[in-house]
Amino acid sequence: MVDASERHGGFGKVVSVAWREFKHTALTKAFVFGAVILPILIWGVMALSALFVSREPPPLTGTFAIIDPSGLVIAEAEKGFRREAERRREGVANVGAAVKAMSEGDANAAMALTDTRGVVEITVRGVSDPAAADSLREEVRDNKLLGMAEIDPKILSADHGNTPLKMLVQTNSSPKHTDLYERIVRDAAVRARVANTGGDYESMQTMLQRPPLNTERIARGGGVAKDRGDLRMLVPIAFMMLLWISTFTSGQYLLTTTIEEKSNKVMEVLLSAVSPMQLLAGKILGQAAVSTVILVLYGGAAFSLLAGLALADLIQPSLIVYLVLYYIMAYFLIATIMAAIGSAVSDLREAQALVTPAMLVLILPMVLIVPITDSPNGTLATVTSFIPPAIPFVMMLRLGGPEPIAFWQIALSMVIGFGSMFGLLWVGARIFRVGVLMQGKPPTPLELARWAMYR
Amino acid sequence: MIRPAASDGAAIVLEKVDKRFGATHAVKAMSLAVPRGSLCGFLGPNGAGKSTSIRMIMSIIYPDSGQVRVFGGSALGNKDRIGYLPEERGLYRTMRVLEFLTYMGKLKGLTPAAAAKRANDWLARIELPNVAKKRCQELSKGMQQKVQFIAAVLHDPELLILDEPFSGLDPVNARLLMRLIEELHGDGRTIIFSTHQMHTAERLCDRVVLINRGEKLLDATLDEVRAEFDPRTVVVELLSGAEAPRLESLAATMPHVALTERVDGKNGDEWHVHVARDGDPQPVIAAIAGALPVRSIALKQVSLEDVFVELVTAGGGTVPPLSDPTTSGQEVNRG
Repeated sequence: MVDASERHGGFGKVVSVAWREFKHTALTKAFVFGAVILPILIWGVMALSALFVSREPPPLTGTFAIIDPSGLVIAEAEKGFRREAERRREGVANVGAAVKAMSEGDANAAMALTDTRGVVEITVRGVSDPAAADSLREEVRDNKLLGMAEIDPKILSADHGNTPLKMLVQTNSSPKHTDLYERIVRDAAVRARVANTGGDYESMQTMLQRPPLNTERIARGGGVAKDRGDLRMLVPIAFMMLLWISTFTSGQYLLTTTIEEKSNKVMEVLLSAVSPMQLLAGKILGQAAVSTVILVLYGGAAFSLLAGLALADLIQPSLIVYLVLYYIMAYFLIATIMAAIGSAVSDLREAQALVTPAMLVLILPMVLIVPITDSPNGTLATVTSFIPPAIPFVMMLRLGGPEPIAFWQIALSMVIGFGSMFGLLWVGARIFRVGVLMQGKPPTPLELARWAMYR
Repeated sequence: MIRPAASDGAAIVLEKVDKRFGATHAVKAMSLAVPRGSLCGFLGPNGAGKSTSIRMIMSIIYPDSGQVRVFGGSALGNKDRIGYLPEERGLYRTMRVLEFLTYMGKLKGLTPAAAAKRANDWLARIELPNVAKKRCQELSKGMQQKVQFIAAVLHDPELLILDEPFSGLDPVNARLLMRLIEELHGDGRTIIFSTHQMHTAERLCDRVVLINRGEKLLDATLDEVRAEFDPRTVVVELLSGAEAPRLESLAATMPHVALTERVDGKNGDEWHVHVARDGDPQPVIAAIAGALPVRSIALKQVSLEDVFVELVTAGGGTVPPLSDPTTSGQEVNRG
């Protein structure tokens, strides 16, 4: 006979169902690969590529020839290469010049100006006789010179007429190095032109510099904080997607495991040991654990990234509290729908017919991302905040944004959301109780309603 | 006169239980009591209502009207005291055998350690060595059925309900299962099993409930059935077939003899002399044995199948086939 020490209580059965559900979903190779390893791999590849990019490139040393009858460009180019060598030695990014290059649409130059990696030691060989061009070209072809430039004297006049510079580089010259030569020589040409026309390049450049802009926003606490508009736009979308992915993934698992138990005919065996309510509770709790793992995993990764970028202040503590509350609401809404559908059908194909209408409502927030984030207090956003299955997703989109949401709207969404969650749990549980023993053709919506009314 | 078992102290009591599935009246006002410690067979053809009755006993489905009591209450509150082998066998295909049995043990209220130990003990007892670490889908159908049987008895239930436990088993495993059922019954457990194989019930049961088209035809111990359906057929094997006309003439002169017919017997022709319900077969046996040279003469052994046929025909019904395909369409599984 079984003695008392060999037995556990009724809640132990719910825990046993929940643990089996969690174990056979989250502790499987498919889940570990799909939900854990794959994102880690993607992060790893990104990190590795960043590592490769940040590796010190080989030193760039050699001679660059410039044919310049005036000698002015040669002198400026020598200074330019020297400045570049010093900048890299000292590891100083030329931010001002980079911003200017960017404003001129020259992204490569902008990147090069902020790049401080790699030693640059370039000597300029100045040549005044244009007839030497052919022999210099031969030297470039033989890799004796890094490259050469020919300066047309017209470039140095005020009326330069956009006369082009001619430049020749080695066959294997890397784009970054070519960018460097171009930038130094073109810059030298401009400096020489300014000097040639009696001006002062440095003071002229200082005068032309646009003032830097430091935009601040009023922080929620009443103070001011640095504005990061682009990132702030991403926060509500990230929060909603986090909620969506974590709840829908486990909801899908709940659907498939329920269908599997029916098709394997194991359902009746289970119901001989536990009540349908214990089974449903166990399955929902087990998948809640799966969902939480996904939420913590992905949410944690996203928060770590923000923390790494010193942008953690974008996430208000109150937002985390709302995330938890709306996560509970979203999970139970979706899990109940999926469990009820899973109990009512015999295979995944049949499930699609019932899942599709539910998905149409649940996908609503995805469709409305742009209008809701654009206008978090608009009519559309406000109205959809009170439509039950969409409530948690719409509210996270709104709460993650910069505009404050009236507290009464948050409170009302909670009341409607949690009220409909409990109502749906009641209906879903009754459908589940009847559906798990049904075989044959899938039920119509009318039959589902009748099941919910069975005593 | 057969009287149903008293409901006082019975393991299971059904009172006017009625169940419909749409237009199908699956169980019709059924009342019965299964005494504690009995080994009771639910007999009837497929679709008779056996599995539906069993599912209502298990509180898996609920009656439209009437009451079901198990150990004086609901099966829901006594699940841990009941072992159940459903008609539709189910396993988690990718789960390992020991893990599945341990899980089922835990669902039946056992601690994980106790469930695992009992599962291993039962695997050895039921002659399934070296399967503990195999996945359920790797087992043969017979092995899967044995695993399912273990899942039903693992928690040492006081009441064991087995729905068609022998279907699909080969003779060797069917015999093993019969032995285990007898052993479990010998330990004092109440056991119910449904079957459409009357001879299996005759061998195992001390009590039978005959069901046809949702109605209970009979609810009695096997002894009561034998007494009530006292055989009145005298089976005669003549030494020579030439004596047959004399037998028929003799029988025709005897009072209470309703009919004489020739039947193909195990040893050749045999004659069945049917005695009317108000007659006594003993004087008929004596008269025939004294007048004719017979190889053997005896009262026919009544079988449950005979009883079933008699009850159905007496009720004006037709005898359904004892192995009948099930229904289709959307409906709750029922037997």
